[in-house]
Amino acid sequence: MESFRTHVPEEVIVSPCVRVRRERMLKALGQLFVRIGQFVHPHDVVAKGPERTAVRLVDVAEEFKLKPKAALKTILVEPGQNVKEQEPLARQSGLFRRKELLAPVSGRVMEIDAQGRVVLQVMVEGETLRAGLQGKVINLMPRYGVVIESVGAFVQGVWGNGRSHVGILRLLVSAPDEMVSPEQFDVSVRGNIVVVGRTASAEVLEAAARARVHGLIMASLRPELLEVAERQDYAVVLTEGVVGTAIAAPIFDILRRHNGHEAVVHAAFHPARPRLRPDILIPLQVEDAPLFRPGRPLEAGDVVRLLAPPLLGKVGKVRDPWAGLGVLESGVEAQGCEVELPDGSLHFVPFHALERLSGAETLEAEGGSEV
Amino acid sequence: MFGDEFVEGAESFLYADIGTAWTRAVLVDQVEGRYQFVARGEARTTLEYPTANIVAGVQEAVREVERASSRALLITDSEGDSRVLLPEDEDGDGVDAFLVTTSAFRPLKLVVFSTELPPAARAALSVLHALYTEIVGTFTVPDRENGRWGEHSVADLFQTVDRERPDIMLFVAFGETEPTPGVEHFLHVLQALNNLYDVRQRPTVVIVAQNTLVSHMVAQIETMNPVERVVVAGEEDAGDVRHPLAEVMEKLLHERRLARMPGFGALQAWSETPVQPTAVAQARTIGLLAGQLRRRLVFVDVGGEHSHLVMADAGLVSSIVRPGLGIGFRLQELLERVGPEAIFRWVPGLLPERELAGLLVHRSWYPLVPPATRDALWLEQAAGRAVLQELVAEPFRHLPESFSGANGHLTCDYIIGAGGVIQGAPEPGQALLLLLDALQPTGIVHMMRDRLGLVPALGVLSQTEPEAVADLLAQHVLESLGTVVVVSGPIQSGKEVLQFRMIHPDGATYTVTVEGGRLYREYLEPGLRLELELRPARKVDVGLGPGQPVRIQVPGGTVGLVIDARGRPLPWPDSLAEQRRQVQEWLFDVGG
Repeated sequence: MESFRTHVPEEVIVSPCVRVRRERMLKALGQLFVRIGQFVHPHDVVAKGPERTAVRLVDVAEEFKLKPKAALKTILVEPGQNVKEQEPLARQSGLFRRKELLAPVSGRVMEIDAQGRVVLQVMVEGETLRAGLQGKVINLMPRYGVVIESVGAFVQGVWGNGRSHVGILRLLVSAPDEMVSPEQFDVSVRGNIVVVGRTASAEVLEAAARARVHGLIMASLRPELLEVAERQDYAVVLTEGVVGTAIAAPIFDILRRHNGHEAVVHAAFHPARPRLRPDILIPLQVEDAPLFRPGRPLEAGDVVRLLAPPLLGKVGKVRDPWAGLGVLESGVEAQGCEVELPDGSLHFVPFHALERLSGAETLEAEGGSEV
Repeated sequence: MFGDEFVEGAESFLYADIGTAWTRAVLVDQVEGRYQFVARGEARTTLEYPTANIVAGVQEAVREVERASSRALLITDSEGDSRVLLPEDEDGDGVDAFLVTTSAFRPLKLVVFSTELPPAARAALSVLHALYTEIVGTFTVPDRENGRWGEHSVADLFQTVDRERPDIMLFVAFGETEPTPGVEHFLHVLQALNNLYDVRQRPTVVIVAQNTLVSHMVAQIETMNPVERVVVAGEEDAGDVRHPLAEVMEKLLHERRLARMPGFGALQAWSETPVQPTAVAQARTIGLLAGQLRRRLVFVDVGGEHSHLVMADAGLVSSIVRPGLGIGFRLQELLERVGPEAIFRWVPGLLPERELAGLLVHRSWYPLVPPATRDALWLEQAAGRAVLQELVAEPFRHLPESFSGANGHLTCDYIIGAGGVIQGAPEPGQALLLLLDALQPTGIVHMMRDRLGLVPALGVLSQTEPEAVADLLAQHVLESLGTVVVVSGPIQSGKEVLQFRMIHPDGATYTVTVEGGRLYREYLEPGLRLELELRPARKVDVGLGPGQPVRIQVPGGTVGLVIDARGRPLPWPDSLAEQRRQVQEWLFDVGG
């Protein structure tokens, strides 16, 4: 019987220099557009799935402002008929002029319903698979996907607005818990990936859009502003989530060190896929960067971020990776470990209330306040 | 189809349930000839990167059981793969049987096509709700000149199928014996709809109709789509379709979801018993219990991504799974749907709403994080109440007659709660109040919770090892929370609504006067029973009619006896702050 007690924690990569490999796979067999050794950017299309059929409705009654019965009399096509783009689907003859409704795309008439709508079967583009990170293609799975390898400083966040951009990393704050004002967004930040510290107001989000930044990185955003962030064309990455008060020290330290360097932001997020994380890559020309391997058990000395109040957002080091069963303030019992915070205090932390910052080296941000 | 192949005569078994968030394992063994709970363990479900294989989560949960029981349950082969050691060996390692249930899959998407259906047929189709299905469209097969598919047009049908890509097209016609123009039109449209799918991924067509019509349709369809058939005798026998339709749907759920879970094949190879959907096994247990006890049972399970309601009495088992409703990553959607007040009113304390909203969203992104503080715990339990209220809102509007009490509120004999938020509530009073607040029953009801998560296992076991089920129930695998007497009718706050007298086995009596608007709790240990005399005020009802007194024996529980004189529906002060203060008092009253 295996009695050795270990726990494999959730982890995010926060590393000043790491080699990261990612598989990018199509859902159905398709076509690859890259070759081994090719350098790709996050937005580059690496593969495409097969074309698929879809439905397109053409509402004749609505377009001609007619009642359904009258609209049906104007329709020129029949179910089963193939039509070409710009071919007339319906024609309305008036006393002085004639109106035609043209097929918006080529397709096949599937049905014509009683409401005067033509149902077209059309072909649409299949899945478009983008690189999602900057790096080199190191392996191909024919017709199915690729493996991309990146080397650089790499930081994973908690939430992203789905956008990807490249730009010069620019810190507008000197400490991880500072905040910025809308006035700081002038022409000098155009095209930059801007680090704004603790959080951003709606005004800052709008000012960033006006200044045409390529990205914003901050600790957290109030829940009601997530939707505003989702609407922006630039990338938004939250390093802590919705309740953090400062960018975690190891993350801020990496961002500060690379102020002025080119960064690639891929602000991926899906609530149903907690391990799909937004990331920030600062590419480095390094030959011997260590390869990130997920799934290592928790060890003493690991840098971890705590995920539950009252220690939410704190970063500390694991002192004892197996502290057994503990009772929390809420009365809930959980297995956990012992974590030491930068102030020297020791805390029992349930295993599922922490994540390892894999690759993190420091607990405190230089020049910044303790987090 | 599920659960027919359990190893008969098994003396020990290991049970694993794979949920969307957690995989839990429980060891049960015979001690002195009786089945007893031994140990349990849990681990993250490992459907996602980097593992992407359910087996890893099961192995980890089983390792937890090994540590807790000091018994080897896994064996590792020469290639380093671990599997459950079957059967139990001479040293007492391993187990005789390994049972698995799961709910860690997406629901089956279904479009229903039907002719005009008699009420019995519509009722029979309710069996679909028990099987993790999401009905994405309902269309009436056109049989008139206007070409409308019920409330929809054919264009709506094409749009629905294009958007949702359903797994199943269910065609139901009870009265027709021959193909009508409407049926022919359905077949024609089906051909066109198939063009929207890759040939290998076309939907299965399930035909529920009379024999001649089924034969005609199958001949037309079987070259295009996978087909399943359920033959009915006629409109008058519509109710008979429940069982065969359930069997077909279970088979499709297995083929299209369970069998496609990564690692399913390996896991299934360990066990002689088919892996079963959790809700199917839960409903079987509750139906069995209702039959044995001859009582009305309500069971609710708040899951991470699905929630489940079962109502059962001696003649009825109604099971409804609500896919997409849970306290996992969809909490943010729930908050948007029901509004903050519907959740935050249940959170006592002074934490500002803005912070509560932040913590709720944070929890939806990190659903595995246990609530460490009291505020976090209250918030989780508030979310549990909101999920339960959503779950029962529609079914409780049309309660079966035997479950319909005063003013149409729920009445039943037992309420059993399951799911992490109920199982894991550190104080039993919290679990009891959560169930009471969300379901708001009337009359006299006994409350329990499935603390060990064994209700699905009992459903699997029940078909071949009924004595194991009886043993486990006898040793309280379900935690008895206590008995609740709900006072309903014209209740005024502060006015006397009830007098109750507790008569202890030693003859000691104790009388209490109950004021409207309050919750009362009396300690009554699990395993004890006492006689209770209830004398409601005029027009006030404790389940037997307005003003009717009653003398009953009530069992105790970890909470004891609770008198709920708050009224139905629950009265709320105007402001959210007062509502939260009110909830604080209620929690205090029941020892939460």
